[in-house]
Amino acid sequence: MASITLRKLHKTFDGTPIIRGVDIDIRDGEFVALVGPSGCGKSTLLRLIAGLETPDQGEISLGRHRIDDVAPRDRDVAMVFQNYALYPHMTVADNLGFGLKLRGTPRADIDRRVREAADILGLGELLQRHPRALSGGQRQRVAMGRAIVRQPQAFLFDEPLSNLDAKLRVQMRTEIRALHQRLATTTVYVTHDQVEAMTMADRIVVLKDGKVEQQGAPLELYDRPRNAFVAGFIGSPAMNLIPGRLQRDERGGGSHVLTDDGLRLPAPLLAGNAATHGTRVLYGTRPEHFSLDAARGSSAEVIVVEPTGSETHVALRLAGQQVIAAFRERVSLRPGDRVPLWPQAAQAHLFDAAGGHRLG
Amino acid sequence: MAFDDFTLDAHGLPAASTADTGTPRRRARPWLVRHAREIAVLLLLLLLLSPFLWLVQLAFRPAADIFEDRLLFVPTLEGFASLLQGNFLKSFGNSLLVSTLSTGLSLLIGVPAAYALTRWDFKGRRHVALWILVTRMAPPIAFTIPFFLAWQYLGLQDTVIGLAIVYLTFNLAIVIWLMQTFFEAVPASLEEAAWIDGCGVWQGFWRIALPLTAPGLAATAVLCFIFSWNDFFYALILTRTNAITAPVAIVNFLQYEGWEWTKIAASGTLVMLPVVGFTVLVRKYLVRGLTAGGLKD
Amino acid sequence: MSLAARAGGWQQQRARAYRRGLAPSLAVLLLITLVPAAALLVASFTPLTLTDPAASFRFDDPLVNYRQLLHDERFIASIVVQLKLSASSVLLQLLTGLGLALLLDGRSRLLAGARTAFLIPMVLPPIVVALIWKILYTPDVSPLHRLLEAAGWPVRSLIANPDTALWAIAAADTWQWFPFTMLMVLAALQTIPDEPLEAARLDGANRWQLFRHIVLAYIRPVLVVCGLFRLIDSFKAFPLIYVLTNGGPGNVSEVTNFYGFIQAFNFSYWGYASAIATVMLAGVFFLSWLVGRLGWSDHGVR
Repeated sequence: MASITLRKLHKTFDGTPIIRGVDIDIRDGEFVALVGPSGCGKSTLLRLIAGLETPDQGEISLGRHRIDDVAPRDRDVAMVFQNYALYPHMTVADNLGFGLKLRGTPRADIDRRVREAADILGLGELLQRHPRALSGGQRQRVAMGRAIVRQPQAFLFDEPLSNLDAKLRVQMRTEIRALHQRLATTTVYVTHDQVEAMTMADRIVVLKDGKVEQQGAPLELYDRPRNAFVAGFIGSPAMNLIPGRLQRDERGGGSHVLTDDGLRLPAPLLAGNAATHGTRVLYGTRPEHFSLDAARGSSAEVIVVEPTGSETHVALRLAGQQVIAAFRERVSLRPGDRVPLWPQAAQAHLFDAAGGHRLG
Repeated sequence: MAFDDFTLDAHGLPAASTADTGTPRRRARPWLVRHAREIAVLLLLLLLLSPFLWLVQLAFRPAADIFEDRLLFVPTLEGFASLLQGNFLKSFGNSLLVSTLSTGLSLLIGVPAAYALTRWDFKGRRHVALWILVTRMAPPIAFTIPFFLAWQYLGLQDTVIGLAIVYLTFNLAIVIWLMQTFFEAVPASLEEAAWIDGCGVWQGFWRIALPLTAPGLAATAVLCFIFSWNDFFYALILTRTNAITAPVAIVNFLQYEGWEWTKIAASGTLVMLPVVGFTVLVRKYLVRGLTAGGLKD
Repeated sequence: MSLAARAGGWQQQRARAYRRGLAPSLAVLLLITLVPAAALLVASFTPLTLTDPAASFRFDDPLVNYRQLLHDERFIASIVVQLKLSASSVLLQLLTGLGLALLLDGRSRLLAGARTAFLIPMVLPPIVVALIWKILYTPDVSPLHRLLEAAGWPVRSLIANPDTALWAIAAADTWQWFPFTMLMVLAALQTIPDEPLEAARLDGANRWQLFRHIVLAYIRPVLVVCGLFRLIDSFKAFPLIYVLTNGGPGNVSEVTNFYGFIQAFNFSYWGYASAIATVMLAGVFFLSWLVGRLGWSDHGVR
């Protein structure tokens, strides 16, 4: 059983609290991504799980065992570092087999398992080379191979793809995901790139300032972000957040959001008295939930048009601020054009302007 | 470094310029002026190294010749041969022994300490630096008096091991100072990877950190050897006949056989050979070794 | 108790491991530097001598040596000699080293070879340096004397002449140590960025102005540290004096270090010699602290 449990973790460095009470449950075989802006503590959390740091308070468990301050070598986890941390003075084969050698595994077994890992990752030809003779992508694979060979209970990845160029990154993402499906080992993956998290993870944990903002399946975070921060963090291009005041409609039982500009945006139905009339809110709508509605849309001025091939991203000026809309169909717009832009009420999100939390 | 046309004459003042910036040249500068720098360098080389060269050539002169005025002579190994009788070979061997022993001891004790200081969050780094500087700078007289008295009492006077221990006063500091800079150059993430792979702290040191400092380790060892080899004062006081080292043997020649110049010159030449050879090897690290503790590396 | 401090945990294991690595060095250092220094201090408070060690190891008048030092003309003279020697030698070393560094700062193979060749005086065993200059100062075998004789200026032995003995030693010392300054200034010259020099050149500055206003600013801190380093090191000077003049003629070349040596190993006045050594040690400690401050805070004008 290779589940990982973090309970009420706290960690302070030089008087600055980095982890301020974190609870996370990772199930056996799950691929969990830790995301957040720099300084949120995601790398520190990973290092705490690895044993490279010891928590000041709280518990860490691997399976049924408490491992709060157990030495890294006794934890049965493997880590892939951001800069690969390959041993420069050893060949690839020695790098791969190092962990097994330290545990006294018989020579024949080491060779067999090294060969297996090399085959999985396509490193067969490179076994006798030294790290300095490898490309970035090859070094990445060796770093992963080193982790695989040990057949640990959990893999820990610390932003492994950030040093690769964009194309290689996309390719490696698929490979890592495929690897996980094949080996089914519990994986904790730290990244600042939410696209990586969305495409690779079974569950995502969003962190900010040492605390968990939300954890759940990628689409869950996408469709129902718990607060404005998560809403703005997950999804690219980011969700548009427009400040305004929630008001009840004059007729009918619905409500709308009155922006500072005087624009009335259609609000989604809120259960019960989720928010009172007059509350200041942030109106959230994703770029793909804008439509061009000649009847109801309000005039927005096009600022920049970015065709990406599959979509067209358009920056417009609406309600006194800049918003981004994403259209699937090809639209022929030019900067300066005025278009009737309308957000879909059913897909809109409301967040309390003061506290940031989700309303409804 | 855009300093190529800067020439100084023999007095150290800027040479008369013949190619000011901006002035178009109508004639090529005369060969002598163009190569003034190279010529100055060669002349200075000859001038400044002549004392050294004189010693070496004296060692190869036939004994009868040394009072002659001739510059040319038939080189001979008489001077070196005469060293074979008497104590000199033994003292040379002692120098080798003491230097090697001292180097080995310093590395054994000092390298793990340097590693610990590098990886441990040690707040007192500047204090360590000051202490290292002081031990290197202290006049040997300050340590020889206590050591002389102590070694008499402990029976370590005039022993190779006694001298090697005393050399730790400066060698240990050198090792710790230099090896710290080399360990700092090894990324901590390599050891972290090793810890996760299954190493303890000292296993990680032995298998990962230390091998990666191999060139620095070699240079440090050589520097320790050189400093031990060159010592005169401690050896003068703390040895008599048993553990006498080469520098002291030379002085004995001067005092008791002061007229045997070829023999003396030969001994000087032999004594300086290992050091000059090694220095060429560690040229890169010389400044670091000589300014230990005083400069932030 | 914080988790991190729990005994047996990884953090504790690590701290213990590092402590174990450091301990032997600390122990040895304590034993061979602090203990002797303490012993030196203790001995300096006694009139300890070889002739009657048991009886002379007493503390009834701890400051007797120090009081005597204040009146000891030979001691005071030795300090003056030391200062004269150090000042002249260090100054000459700095100038020579600086000049050579400027001359040799360039890219050709000849210059690179010269830079290595000029290191020789510094890396020779000091006893060999003393030997070389002993030969040069012994009229019978010295090419120097023969040249001067041939040119019509016969000179008597420089080291037997009280007026010139100290200068003779200073010359030898300069010869031995100018490469140190040369090395350090060369290293500093490498770090001067090209832009200010090129800008000044375009502005029409000539070589001397370039040197005075730009280069000097960059290497001045190095020269200061160099000078201090060599100054402190010069207090240790021994082989040259021992071999060339043995402190003489008379006491003309007797530096403090040498005076202490004589007191300890000729007269066997251990207590008195310890007091001399303690005074020297205090001076060295202060100057080293100064060097440390400069070297650590002001490393370069960037």
